[in-house]
Amino acid sequence: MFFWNNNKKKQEAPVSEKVEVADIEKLKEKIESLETDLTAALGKDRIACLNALGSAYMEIKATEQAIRYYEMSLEEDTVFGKACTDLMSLYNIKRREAAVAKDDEQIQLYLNKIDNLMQTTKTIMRKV
Amino acid sequence: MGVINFIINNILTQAGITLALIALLGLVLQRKSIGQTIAGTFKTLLGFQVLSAGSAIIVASLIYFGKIFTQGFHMQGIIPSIEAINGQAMNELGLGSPIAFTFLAIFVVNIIIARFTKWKYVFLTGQAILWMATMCTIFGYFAGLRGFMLVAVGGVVGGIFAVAMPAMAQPIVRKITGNNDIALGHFCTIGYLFEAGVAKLVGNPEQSVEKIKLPKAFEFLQDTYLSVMVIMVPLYIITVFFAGEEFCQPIAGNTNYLVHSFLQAIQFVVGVYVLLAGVRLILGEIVPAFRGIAMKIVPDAIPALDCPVLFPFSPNAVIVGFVTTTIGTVIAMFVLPSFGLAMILPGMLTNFFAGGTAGIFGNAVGGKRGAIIGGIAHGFFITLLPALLVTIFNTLGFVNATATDVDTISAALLYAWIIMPLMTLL
Repeated sequence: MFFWNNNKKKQEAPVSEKVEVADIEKLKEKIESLETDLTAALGKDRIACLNALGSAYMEIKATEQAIRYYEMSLEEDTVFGKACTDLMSLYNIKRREAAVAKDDEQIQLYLNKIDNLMQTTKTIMRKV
Repeated sequence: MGVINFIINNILTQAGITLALIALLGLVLQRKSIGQTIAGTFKTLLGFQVLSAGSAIIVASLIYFGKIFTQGFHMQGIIPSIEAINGQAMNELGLGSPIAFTFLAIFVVNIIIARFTKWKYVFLTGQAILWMATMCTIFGYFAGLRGFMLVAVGGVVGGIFAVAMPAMAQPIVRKITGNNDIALGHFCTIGYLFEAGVAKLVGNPEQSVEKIKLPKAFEFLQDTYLSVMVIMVPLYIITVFFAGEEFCQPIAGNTNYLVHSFLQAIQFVVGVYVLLAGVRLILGEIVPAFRGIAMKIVPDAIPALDCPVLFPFSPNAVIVGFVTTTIGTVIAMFVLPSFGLAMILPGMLTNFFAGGTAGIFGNAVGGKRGAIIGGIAHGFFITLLPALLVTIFNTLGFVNATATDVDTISAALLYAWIIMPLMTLL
């Protein structure tokens, strides 16, 4: 119906793209290679590496690792980019998981991370 | 019975205590420790006292400004400041308790709608809900509502806006962000959709403003209070020039009238600083408590977040939106008085945040032409709506200020144009 939840229909989980097993293997190889490159990378190359790792982990749905690398990228180079936009999605994924698990601490953790990210975007915007 | 009457007449009428009790409820429901609960409750009470102090500083400065503006330009000059409106409503008009209860009611109604309907938007921008609660309470009071009905109607109106505004913006937000993970929780959405409508008519979405390089020009916006000062100081100084030494020197006493005017402008900024510090203390305890509860009750909620959430997706559009909205507000400032409306002075913070976000909408729908033309139209629109409320604010005793966020103004107009006539008929 227009207004209410249709209780007869089962709540469907969001449709996510199927990443084929072969693709996952390729991505894992890519991640391994990037992590090796990261140990020696400096400056802009390092940031590009961190963002690529965040993106790759996000594709294989390894949310926590994706968050870790994107947060490192944003801390070292606080500018608008993929790290900023993808982190918002990732924090929401974790927030939703925490809400389903009714984990208060994790809900507050990721809501606070979202707050901090928005504060960062305000700061970046004022310096643009 | 005597105890109940004492609680109703002496405790629940005290806005600071009401807010502190709401925070206490939230902290207890979150099962915080006794220490955290006591600290959070008292911080909220303290926050209200800080807010009151800020309001008093702002009002004193606005009274001075009103006098010199009327003397200098022979008309009423109105500063758009929802903070000043909130401060005066909670203090001078004694509407603090109803505003606090309406704030809570809006949260509750939002959660109910998100839980039981297909619109899963949970509005998480606490400050915006406070401004909506303020406007619903002021105009509900103006319409003749009192007590429980004042809070209930405000809660329902505000709660519907808290879901409807993100829902209406979501098709364009999805286009901007490329996903449905987040929604926009900023009560200026009607203005954004207005700009998007204009942009659709005049623009071309293929020619995005993100493809061009814009100069760095906005370092003064790096600090909120610097941004307010950049407008207020020239405004006060220019106004006092027009008002003249003969009129202004007696008000200034032993201080030179120009220096006095400068200090009054700074006082306004200080008042905003203090008031917002109070708001942050209040919301710092209440919002985390209730949004945590909201997320558990509606686990598949789409959080409606403050406007900076869209900035990373289109930073050039923010700048274009800010500049063009400012142009629009300046045009409206000079044009509207010729139609018998008050002169609404530009609000730099609104022009940056609301104008910037509107620019993102304009660019998404109509490219750079949409962002530019839509932005100027947006600036005019967001000046026109507050101008319509000035007479009512004057009647209620507000000093030389009007509201800013157009969704809250729309809620107020709903009360003035629909709810009040309905009540007259009943």
